[in-house]
Amino acid sequence: MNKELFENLRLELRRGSLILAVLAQLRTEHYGYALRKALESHGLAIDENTLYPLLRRLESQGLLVSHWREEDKRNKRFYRLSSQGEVILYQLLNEHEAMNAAIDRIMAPIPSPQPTETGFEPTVLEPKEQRQ
Amino acid sequence: MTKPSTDLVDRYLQAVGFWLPRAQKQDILAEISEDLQSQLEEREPELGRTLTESEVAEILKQRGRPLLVAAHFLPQRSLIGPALYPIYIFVLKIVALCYVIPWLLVWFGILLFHRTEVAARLSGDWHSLGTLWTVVFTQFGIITVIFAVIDRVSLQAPCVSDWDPRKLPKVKVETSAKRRINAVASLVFAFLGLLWLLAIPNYPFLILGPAANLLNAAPIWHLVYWPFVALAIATVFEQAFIFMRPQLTWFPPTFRVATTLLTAGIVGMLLRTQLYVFPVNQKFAEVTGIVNLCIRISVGIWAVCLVVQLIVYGWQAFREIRRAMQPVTPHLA
Repeated sequence: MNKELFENLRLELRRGSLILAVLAQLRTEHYGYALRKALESHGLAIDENTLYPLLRRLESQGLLVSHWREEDKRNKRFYRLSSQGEVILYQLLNEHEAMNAAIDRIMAPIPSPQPTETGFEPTVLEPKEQRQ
Repeated sequence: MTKPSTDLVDRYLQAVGFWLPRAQKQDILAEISEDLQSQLEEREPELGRTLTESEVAEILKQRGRPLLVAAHFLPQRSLIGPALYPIYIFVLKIVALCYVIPWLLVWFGILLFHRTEVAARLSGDWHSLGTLWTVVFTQFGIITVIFAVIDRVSLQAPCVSDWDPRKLPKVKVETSAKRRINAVASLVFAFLGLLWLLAIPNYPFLILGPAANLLNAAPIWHLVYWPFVALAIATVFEQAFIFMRPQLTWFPPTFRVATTLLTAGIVGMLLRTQLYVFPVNQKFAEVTGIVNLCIRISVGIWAVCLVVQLIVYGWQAFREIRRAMQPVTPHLA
């Protein structure tokens, strides 16, 4: 149950970040597979079933532009950030930074997790009533 | 790429393409195909040989079923969107509460208390229940279609934007003091009701009015009279108890479930007879027939009302008992 819950929340958290990562990566032109590999090399693996529909959606929203071009004797669809996409990307990056800074401030008073033999002991937050 | 892998990929793409919208099909398939080919070509130098059919199959399997892959490219659709969904569920609940549950209870009630020809026919086959389900599914279906249409034409927009917080209903706060005041008023009326009931045997005009000179009560009333008096006394005690212990919010609905069940038993007895009054003189026979019919219809309506009452009190009792068993939480206002 907890694993499933975590997975759902993780996906929810990832969804927005993926858009940001894709837009940022497409400041330089990439075709789908190369984009996937580039993101993976930066530690952000993305499923092809997520990436391609996302690319289409971002293109339909005017944030990306694409064209088919032959490369290595194969037709590939190349994507890059549109001028509107650039504006949105920087707005989103600002928002992302503000969000990160806010979370850092919120998390600040909580003591760091203590290392144990098996790894890091998660900080356990007690319910309000119990703490009183 | 080798022949077997091309064949498998082509079959996979064909299966994906089956579910894609015609306008975008070729474009999407070309892109998926390119991605697959890139992946397969990347693996071959790693292995130093061409991929076997089972290895290609494994890669395709990791991509997922064709239907699911295609589904990612389709616009997200829901019959009823999140803005209308709570209202839709609310309407379905009302239909279930006001139609399905009373229907079922009346159906069982008829089977239990009124074994007439109708009841025998009802118990003999399940045709009537089949009719209920048909009606219920039709109603639910119609409601679903209506909501889906409203959702499509975006009539929900005014509900979302055009609202005024000042028009929201006031917070209902029922304090113990308010419950006590209500209990006093109810106690007075319950006591007056009891007195009225006790006076009826000596003063039948209190219930029959001017017709008291023409009609006499049938024996059934002698049978149900004292149970009615007992219920009236119980109501007086109920209100007195609420006055003394207004904080026990689970008590009134629970008590009323019990009294409603007792009343249902009495009404069941009244439903078994057809004679409620008889004429003092035979020349009033026609009037008596009309009065008997009116009383019978009234008793029937009463029975239906009791069923609804039982559902409402039962739900209130369940809610209050559950609330009483939960730890105390901060309350609104």
